[in-house]
Amino acid sequence: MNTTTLETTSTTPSGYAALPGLMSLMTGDEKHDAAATSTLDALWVLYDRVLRVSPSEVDSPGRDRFLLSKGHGPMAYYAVLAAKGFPPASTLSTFGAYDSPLGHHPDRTLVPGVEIASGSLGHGLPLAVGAALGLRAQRLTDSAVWVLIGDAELDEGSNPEAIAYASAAGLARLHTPVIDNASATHGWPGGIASRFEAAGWSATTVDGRDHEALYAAYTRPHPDQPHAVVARVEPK
Amino acid sequence: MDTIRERFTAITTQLLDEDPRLAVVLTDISADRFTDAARAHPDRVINVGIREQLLVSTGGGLALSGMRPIVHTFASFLVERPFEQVKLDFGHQGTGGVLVSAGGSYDWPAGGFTHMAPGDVALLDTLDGWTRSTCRAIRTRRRPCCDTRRPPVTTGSSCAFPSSPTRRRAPWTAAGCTPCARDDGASWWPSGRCWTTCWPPSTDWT
Repeated sequence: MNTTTLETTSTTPSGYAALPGLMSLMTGDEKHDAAATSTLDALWVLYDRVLRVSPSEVDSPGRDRFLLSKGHGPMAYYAVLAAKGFPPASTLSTFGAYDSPLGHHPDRTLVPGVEIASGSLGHGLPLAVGAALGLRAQRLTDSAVWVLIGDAELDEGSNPEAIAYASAAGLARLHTPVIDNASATHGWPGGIASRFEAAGWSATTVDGRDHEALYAAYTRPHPDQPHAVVARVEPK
Repeated sequence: MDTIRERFTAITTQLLDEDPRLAVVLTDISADRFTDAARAHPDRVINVGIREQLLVSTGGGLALSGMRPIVHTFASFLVERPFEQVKLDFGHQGTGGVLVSAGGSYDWPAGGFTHMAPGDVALLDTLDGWTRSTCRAIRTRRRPCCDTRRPPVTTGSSCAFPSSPTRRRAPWTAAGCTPCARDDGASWWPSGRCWTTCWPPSTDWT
């Protein structure tokens, strides 16, 4: 295998306006449907305004961690990472090709800035719990852990295990954006946020396309509790 | 004479004192044997309740953060029940950990089939980089050591690092992949993946 790990570059287009073009390098389409971009705004606001991580800090112990649990349909994720200088834009066109580091599911061993290899649903939040515990044990308490999941992914039973325990353990540095495109087959009566709140989390629901609302929700104080942000987007 | 399970908890408690990167993850099983250790190291003796998926994933997340996890429960709930977590949350992430079962595949026949793990060894054999060892390492007070440069012979335990050429990135902190090397305990912890069955015949089940 000649697969190579990507190096970062400074020539990548940046800024929110560049994202559709970066995605086009992977999809070949000028326009992208709602499913392909369901995570785009939530990811952009996180990487642009919230996360303390940069291409030069991908191995820094004190960086913030972002875990993409919903690893399928990663084009928006790769585009945001490229816009922020992690993988170079020039490799986006290799997406899904033989020997490309940019697979249909992200691999942390191949792509700089990717914190977990994901694709099988229901692994990111439990891994994030372990990461938050590990950072706390090492007194790296400035580091925040973020893990993005989907509303259908919440069906996986591993998530309720993690949700219940995270609040019991007081993991206040754990944050979970939930992209809600109403794709869970049986839905979540009462709303997704209420499930987190019942388990002892701080939780709020916002328009997943509204950047200011996302930022306000992401940065809302939540002392002593983990924090969930349900970002509603167009139904799948 | 100590039972093997007593020896496991005693030595692990000692190691928690010695190595600030060591963490133990439990699902209630054996938690009563770690109460002193939990008091001394509340952030590193982690009991997630009866949640085996979370048990293994928590170990995986700890490893990503640079810690060295020991993940422990009854044999039947350590590998077979959360097998995809073992497969993806350690191996696919390129990290290591130590799984220690209380009891081996068939060590409690009176417990019935619910407490047997007929597939655990075979399942681990389908994954890269896992080394299986027996409790002999613990019984003799030798550390189960994983060192590809100098596999320990006398402990009956050895471990391989992930061998895939794509597995080049370090865990989240560089210190997390420091290889263990020595039987004297000064720097022993494996960065490879180990599974240890801590249960030769003994009358001490619970």
